[in-house]
Amino acid sequence: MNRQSLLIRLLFCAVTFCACESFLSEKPSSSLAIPNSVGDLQAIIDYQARMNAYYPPSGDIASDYFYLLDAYWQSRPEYARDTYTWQPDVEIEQDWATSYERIFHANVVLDGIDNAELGGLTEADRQHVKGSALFFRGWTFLQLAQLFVPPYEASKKDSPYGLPLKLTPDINDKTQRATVDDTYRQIESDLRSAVRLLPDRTPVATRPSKAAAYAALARMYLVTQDYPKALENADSCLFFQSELLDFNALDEQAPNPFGELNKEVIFHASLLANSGALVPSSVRIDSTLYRQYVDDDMRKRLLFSIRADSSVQFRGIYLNSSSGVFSGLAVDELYLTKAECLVRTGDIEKGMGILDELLRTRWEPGKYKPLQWSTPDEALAVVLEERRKELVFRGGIRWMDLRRLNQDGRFAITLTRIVNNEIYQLEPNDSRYTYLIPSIVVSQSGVIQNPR
Amino acid sequence: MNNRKLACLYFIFGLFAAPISGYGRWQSAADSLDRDTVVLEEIIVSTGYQTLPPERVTGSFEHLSEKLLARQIAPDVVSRLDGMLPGLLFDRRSGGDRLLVRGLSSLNVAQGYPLIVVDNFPYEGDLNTINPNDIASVTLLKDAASASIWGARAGNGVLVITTKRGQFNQPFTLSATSNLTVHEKPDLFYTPQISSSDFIDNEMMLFNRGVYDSDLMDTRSWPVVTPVVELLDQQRRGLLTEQEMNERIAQYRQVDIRDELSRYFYRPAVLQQYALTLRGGSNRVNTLFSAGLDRNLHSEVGNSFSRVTVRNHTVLQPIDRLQLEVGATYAATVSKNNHPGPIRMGVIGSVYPYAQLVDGNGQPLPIPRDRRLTYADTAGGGQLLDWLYRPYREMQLADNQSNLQNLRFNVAARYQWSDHLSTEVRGQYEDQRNRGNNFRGENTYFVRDMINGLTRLTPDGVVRPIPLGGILDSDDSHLQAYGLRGQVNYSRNWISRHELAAIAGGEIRHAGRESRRDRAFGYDPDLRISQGVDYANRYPRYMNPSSLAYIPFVEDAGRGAERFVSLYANASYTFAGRYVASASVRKDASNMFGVATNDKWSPFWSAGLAWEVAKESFYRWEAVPHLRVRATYGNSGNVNNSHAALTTIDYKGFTPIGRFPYALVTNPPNPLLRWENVATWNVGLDFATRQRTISGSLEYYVKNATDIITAIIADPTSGFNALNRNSAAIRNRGVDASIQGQVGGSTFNWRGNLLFSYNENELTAYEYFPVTYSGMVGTGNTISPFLGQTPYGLISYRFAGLDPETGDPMAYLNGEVSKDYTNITRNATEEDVVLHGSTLATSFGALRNTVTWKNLSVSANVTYRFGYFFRRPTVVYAPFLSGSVVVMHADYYKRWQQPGDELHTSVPSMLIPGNSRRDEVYRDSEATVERGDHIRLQDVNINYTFGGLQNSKLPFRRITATLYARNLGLLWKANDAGLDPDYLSAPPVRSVAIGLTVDF
Repeated sequence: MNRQSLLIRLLFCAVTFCACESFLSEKPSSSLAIPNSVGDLQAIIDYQARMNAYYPPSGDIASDYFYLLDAYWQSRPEYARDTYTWQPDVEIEQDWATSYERIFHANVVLDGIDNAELGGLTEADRQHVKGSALFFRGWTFLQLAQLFVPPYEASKKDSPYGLPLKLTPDINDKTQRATVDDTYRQIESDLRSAVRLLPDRTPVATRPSKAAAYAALARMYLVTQDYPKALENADSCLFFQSELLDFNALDEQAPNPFGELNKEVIFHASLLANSGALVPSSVRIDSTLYRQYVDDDMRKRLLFSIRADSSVQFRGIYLNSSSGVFSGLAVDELYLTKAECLVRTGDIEKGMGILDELLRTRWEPGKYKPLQWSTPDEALAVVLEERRKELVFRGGIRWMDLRRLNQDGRFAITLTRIVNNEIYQLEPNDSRYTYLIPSIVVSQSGVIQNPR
Repeated sequence: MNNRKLACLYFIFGLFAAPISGYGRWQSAADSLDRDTVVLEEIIVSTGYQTLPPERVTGSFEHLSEKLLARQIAPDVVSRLDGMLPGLLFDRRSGGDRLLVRGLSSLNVAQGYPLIVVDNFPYEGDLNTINPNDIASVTLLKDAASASIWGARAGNGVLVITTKRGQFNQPFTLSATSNLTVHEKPDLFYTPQISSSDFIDNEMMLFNRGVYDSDLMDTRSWPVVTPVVELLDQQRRGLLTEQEMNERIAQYRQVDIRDELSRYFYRPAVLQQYALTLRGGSNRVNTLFSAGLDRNLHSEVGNSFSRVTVRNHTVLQPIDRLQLEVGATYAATVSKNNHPGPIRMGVIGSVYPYAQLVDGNGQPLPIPRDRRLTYADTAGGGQLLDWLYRPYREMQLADNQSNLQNLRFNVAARYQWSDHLSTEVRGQYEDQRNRGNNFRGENTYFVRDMINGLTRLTPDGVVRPIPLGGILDSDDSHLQAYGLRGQVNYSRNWISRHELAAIAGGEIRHAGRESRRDRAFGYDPDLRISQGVDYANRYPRYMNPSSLAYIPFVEDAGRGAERFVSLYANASYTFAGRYVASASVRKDASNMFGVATNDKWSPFWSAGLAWEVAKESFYRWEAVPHLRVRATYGNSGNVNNSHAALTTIDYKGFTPIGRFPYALVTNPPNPLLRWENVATWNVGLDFATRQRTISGSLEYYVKNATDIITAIIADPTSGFNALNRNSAAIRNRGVDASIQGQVGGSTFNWRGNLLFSYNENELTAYEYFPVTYSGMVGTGNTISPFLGQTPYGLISYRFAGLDPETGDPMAYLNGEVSKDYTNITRNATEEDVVLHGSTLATSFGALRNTVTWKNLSVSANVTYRFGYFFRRPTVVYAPFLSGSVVVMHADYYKRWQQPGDELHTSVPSMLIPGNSRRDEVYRDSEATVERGDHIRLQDVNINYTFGGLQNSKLPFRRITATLYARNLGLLWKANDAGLDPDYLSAPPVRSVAIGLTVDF
């Protein structure tokens, strides 16, 4: 009997326990591939329709550089109409969902990258893919924070209104809001890690590079008003990529003189445009803004065209489409960030010099006169003015700047819209500068809602 | 060679090949061995883990013997089960045969199939590779007590197939079987449709209304137009006189494409089947060899299937205590799929009813396809490849076949340690390769069209980015599966009052699959060389050079595996031969479950009781000397392998920028994912009268499926708006009954078998978005989950008749009679719809009568299905009226034409221009719903045995000749529409088979 029981025990052991763990770690059958190689994860990063598109448009829909005709407004979907008129209860679930979908894809990559098979690729490729995923996650959190997290104020950084920091692809994770400070620390850490891992250059700007990660960091520090760090990162970015377009060399007659992946583009991305509320060819440019461009400024002709009804239409899109909105990172933004940070940190001369360098490429040859200022405040006002004029229809930037600058009484403004003879206004620091968390998220997870 | 001649030749060969080769000398077997054993007690229930005598079974099973399986002459195993087992429903609504055991326990159609076990292991390969003549028995395990030993895959029931074996101490016997089946030609006229002449009249009416003008004037994409429209256009442009035009149109009026299709594209199917079985054994060895050959020419010209199977199973007993088994099965099949299917004028759509495919001399004729015939005929001025589409020629050129090979090995060793204890080890290895080659030569339309599509005519000559030559699409798939099992068996009797039988064991299973798909351009089938193409750049289209297109890239590869580790035990205890208690337990872990599920100890289990009432001393009912009641409860699982616990991605092609391959995540990781759980209550009663004149069993069950994987609304922070999770539940309740009666002795004998099954099911939990009632309206053939209803419910718009003024259909919106078709089809409320019931039969079964007189036996099986509904097809106008080529249903003739018609028809008037939502409201209204109830003469089997020949000079002992007819038609149906409710698009064809079995 002894011999028998030993045999039985051996049999059981062999059949079940010993091999169990490794035996069951085999990927299951499916007509679909299991992402287990670096190449598979790179393919997820290259899912351009989500990673480089579908960026949240609601900040721009609520921004002040354009307006809609009443009839056009009337035919937009309800959430777009309400976003445009700053309704306090508007829900922008789509912005949340598409951004978290991108974060999910990034998390899938981060979950698998360390143990992925190399296939035909190298360790360097592994680092690049990992860096890309970190970039996309940090970058997307940054976009979300400008919509769903109250404007950053150093004194309120422990407020509980941060983002749910989804850091794994597990669908069973509990959704919980982090503090504002933790939210920005996460963005900072994702982007800083990305800087270390990403290559100096990528084959095309749909894949993030070191310059893109530095540029995103510069934008983040601008949001948190940490101007020395913003300057440092803008500088680092420009070290890798600083070439500006010469507007004289552009074809004024072409329907779109810029096009996608032009040499100023550091990182390519576009906004989700399905509401139609931001289609450059259908909406009108704010006339006050347009009047600020002088005739020698070639942007007046290259960025805009005049419609039959003499309203102004934007056409200076860094995309191959007249209906999309570029929402990536470009060199001119970094010039402006660098100039602003220099001016704010006291190096006014140098800052204005950077601005001159940028504007010289925008003006008719030989017509440009270096900027003049008398006080530091005046210099800052000039820089911010030029920032607004250069970065029209650049997804995310104007909304982010409005939220930031409203905290400074010198630059705070009230936005006004008139629709069907009704006047809508958005005061500085209004709670409507922070969108509500979509109610489906609140009801499914119980997270706290933003104040109203 | 002529197919029929070939068939005859094979048949004759099948009859005589065996005797010629001289196996006749093994003719000494005792005839008694083959005598039919019909008494209940001799059935052995095989669960795939053990075999049990029925008196130890507490659960629910159905058994089909070798003889009953052989009664149905059919090329595959599954068709031989139809109408033979209570609780097993063949669902044919989507064309094929889907098996449903006791209703529904999943919301995923693909998961509804029962687990198929062949020789103790789940069968992973293609069921068509199994030679039905190799099968000794089929056992259907229906409840938890019988099936839960199969754990996570048993929730839909288990079909246990056991192949034939040799026997110890039996002289060798050889048996040869030949079956020849001929099917009627399919009836293409089954669905009534508008005549060619009326079709043409309507085309002329639409032409005059200018409906085709935009197509006729489109000289950029040259949309297809029919020949009549082409003639009308030519006449309008003065290229043709009205008389000439009318003469030619008059010819078209006489044509019906179905005549030519029937003549050139369809034929009577001929199925040949030959099988040889040689078996016997000494006291230490027994063995069985079998071989099978099938050749099936399907009714679609160009389609065929052939199969060769070879098998051996050998059992060795080198010493008394040790038994070794070795088995090997090889099967090779060749399927040809060269029939074009429905003739179309584009990738989708239909063709005009007066299309001519073949001229008077049998030569193929072109029909317009993809672009206007007059354009395609002249485009390129002779520099392009011929751009015309000739369906008949295409069928002749088609060369699409797949070759499948399946190899299976079984080994087992069993050692008897004592009278009570034995151990066994079993292993199986299965390897299946399938290679599909679809070669389309340069002359096929597919290739010519693809090449022309990107051709550029330049001053320097013709530039073709896609090279001349054929296109070869290859599909390869490879399956490798193995299983290894160790098991301890224990059985003991104590002083004849206590009996214990128990097994315990563990097993591992692996099934790995690999597939790949390639395309070779410019392929030369003789030289076997191909040419490369440029997938990276875009080329101008011939018809619209400003539009650029990539050469389509279809290559694809995939790989994956299913793995299980399982532990199980099963015991039954019998006291005093009257009380039986049984219990089983099983734990599965799988790579398809989430980590949390694998780590948790939540086993499948079952428990059952049986009581032999008739053996009690107080039992006095002498008319019924056998009476037994039993009850079981337990659970089993259902692995939904369309949702893995791990992340899956899907490669979608190349990115617009940079041309990188890209993939999206289709399945998020879900460590909590687990099997769908099916818990079943089953109570049963078995009885038999004296001499078993009447015997039978009745069962009642409640089957609760929970944790069903389906989409639920998700927190979008997860990255998904909806997620598939274990969330829904279905409750099934039903009855299975089978009653046998027999009268007579050895000369004359009548036997009747009545099978009855009842099932009702309802969705008891469902968490998805509130579905609109409008979205639920339809055919009921797809799962449309709705709380409190059967997932296959038929829901219609409430119908308020036709508007007497206009003939418009009227339905309801918010309880009011309405013609607001847009809102009805979007926002109908509960009061605006009618819930008819299930589209699956709720009551079904069969009545089989067998009369035997001496050596002649006649058996007829009548099947019936009751308690369900179907939606009959009817006319829709809008697509035709907007200029599409759609042949309208003959309900057209019943349409409302003038006031008063609404009294005797429900078919709406033809409103011009068409309104598709108006059509939809009528099509999906209660006016087009019919009851599915029917009674069918499933088959008749006439069988004559020339027995007792062993003493004659003939080289064989026995010959059995069979005449078998199947699908003989409906005996009764509830609907007046002339439709077979289970075959709405094409009725089953009648078939006749001649079978001959010779035992040597």
